[in-house]
Amino acid sequence: MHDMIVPMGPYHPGLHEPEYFKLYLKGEEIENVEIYLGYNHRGVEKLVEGKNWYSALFNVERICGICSIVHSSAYLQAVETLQELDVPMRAQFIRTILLEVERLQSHLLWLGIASHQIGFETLFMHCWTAREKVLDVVEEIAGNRIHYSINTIGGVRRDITKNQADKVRTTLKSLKAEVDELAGVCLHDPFISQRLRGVGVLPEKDAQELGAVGPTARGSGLTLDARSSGFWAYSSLGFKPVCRKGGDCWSRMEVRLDELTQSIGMMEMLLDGMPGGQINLGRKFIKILPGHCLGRVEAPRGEVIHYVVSNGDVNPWRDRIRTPSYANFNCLKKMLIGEELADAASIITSIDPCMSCTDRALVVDEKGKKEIVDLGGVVHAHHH
Amino acid sequence: MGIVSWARKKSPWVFHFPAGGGCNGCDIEVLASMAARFDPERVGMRLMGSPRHADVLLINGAVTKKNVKNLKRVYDQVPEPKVVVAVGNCALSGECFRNMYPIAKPLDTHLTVDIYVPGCPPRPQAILAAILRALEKKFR
Repeated sequence: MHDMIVPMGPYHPGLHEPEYFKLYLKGEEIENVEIYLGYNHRGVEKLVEGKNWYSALFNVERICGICSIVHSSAYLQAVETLQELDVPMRAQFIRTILLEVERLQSHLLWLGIASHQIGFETLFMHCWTAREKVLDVVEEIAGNRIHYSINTIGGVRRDITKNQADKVRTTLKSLKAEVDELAGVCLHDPFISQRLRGVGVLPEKDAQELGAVGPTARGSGLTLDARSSGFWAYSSLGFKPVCRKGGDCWSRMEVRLDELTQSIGMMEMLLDGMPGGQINLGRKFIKILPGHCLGRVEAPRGEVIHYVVSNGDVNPWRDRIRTPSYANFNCLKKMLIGEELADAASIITSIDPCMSCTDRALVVDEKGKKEIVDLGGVVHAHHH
Repeated sequence: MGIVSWARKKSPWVFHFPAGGGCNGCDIEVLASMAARFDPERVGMRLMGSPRHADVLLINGAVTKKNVKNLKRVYDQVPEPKVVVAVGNCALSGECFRNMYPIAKPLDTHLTVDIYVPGCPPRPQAILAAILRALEKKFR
């Protein structure tokens, strides 16, 4: 029986978005958790229905500031498959470069926030200073620090010139040295080890049953990564997902640190191997062929799915979005129960929650009927 | 001016309030503006954990209906005199979300805003400049 209830949120200094965790405590131990979300719900899926395909792209990008290009990429993957477009190789490479850049800045952001949660302010400041280098790279390529707006139906809007590519390469070299230093600090500091090892354990079986994705799943031993499907330029990179077996906050941190180094390496390979050619198909698509299609892209937090349905009209008929934090939130209850109150913020941060991605309205059938849909059959466009 | 007003102008402490309905872009630009590259501590600014410790209230995001009551409560907790800064296009007008079903009326119908920072998201330099300008105006 719990002693007291501690409300964590909705506006907690440790969480940078509104989310409400009702922690039932017995002493310092968490006995039960109730999670209340919905503070960030904006009705994006409804919003997209009334816009044309390009305005919908603008809106879909603004679902989340940290994974903005991932949402626009997943949406475009679906739309371009519906329209049976051949996106030029150069555009595919530029998109992949920016996806990896987003992963870099997101993981550095996460590392800063995670150290802030355990009280390591210096590391927070150092990570965010390293992240500023990444944002300079982004500004060089896309023109803005957040919300790159570089994607368009059929390709990208801006090219990477030779000058920009050289500047990016120089920044990546110095960034590699900085990331190695930060990773060295994280992996060998006894203080971080003490706070994160054995905390917030998610066993592999639970991770699979609860549907974890991204570094949350990969830290528990599941090799789930949407990049393994080899879409766009990933097929030319020989990509293998990073995996750890521990299932605790430490393993999830190790996964993200390795992914940082992996992303820098992939970006260098992509810049060196970039083909020539056009960057987009040079025309506007007012209507998209009818059908339904699934777009799957790997965000820094896990797999993002956009299920786009078109009626052959100027507006999307439906865009159903499933974000990784939505899947990972189910795992939080398992991770938090039995832990101490002081570790709660650290555990919540270890799944890298993104509330703006997550807040979706879901209609649940009262009769509770379950239906299993074979995902393999849906990935290719169905035209009716 | 007295020592209290001098101290108020020289060490403004900031509370960041995400009023829901935002994409996170402004949240991270606000955090970036409080980090080491732009160094707001040279003008005495620090990000605080409680609205009761703050002089400046940074609000971003289009206000959702679920957040309106909490918004007013947090606004009342910030002691007078306070400076309210609306960060980002969503706080200004709701941007693309303004007519959606869960979004409440715009921010400045619920409380008085001292300065607006447009942008999607605004640059950290713009956020810091706005806070300093509002402080200059209000804590003269």
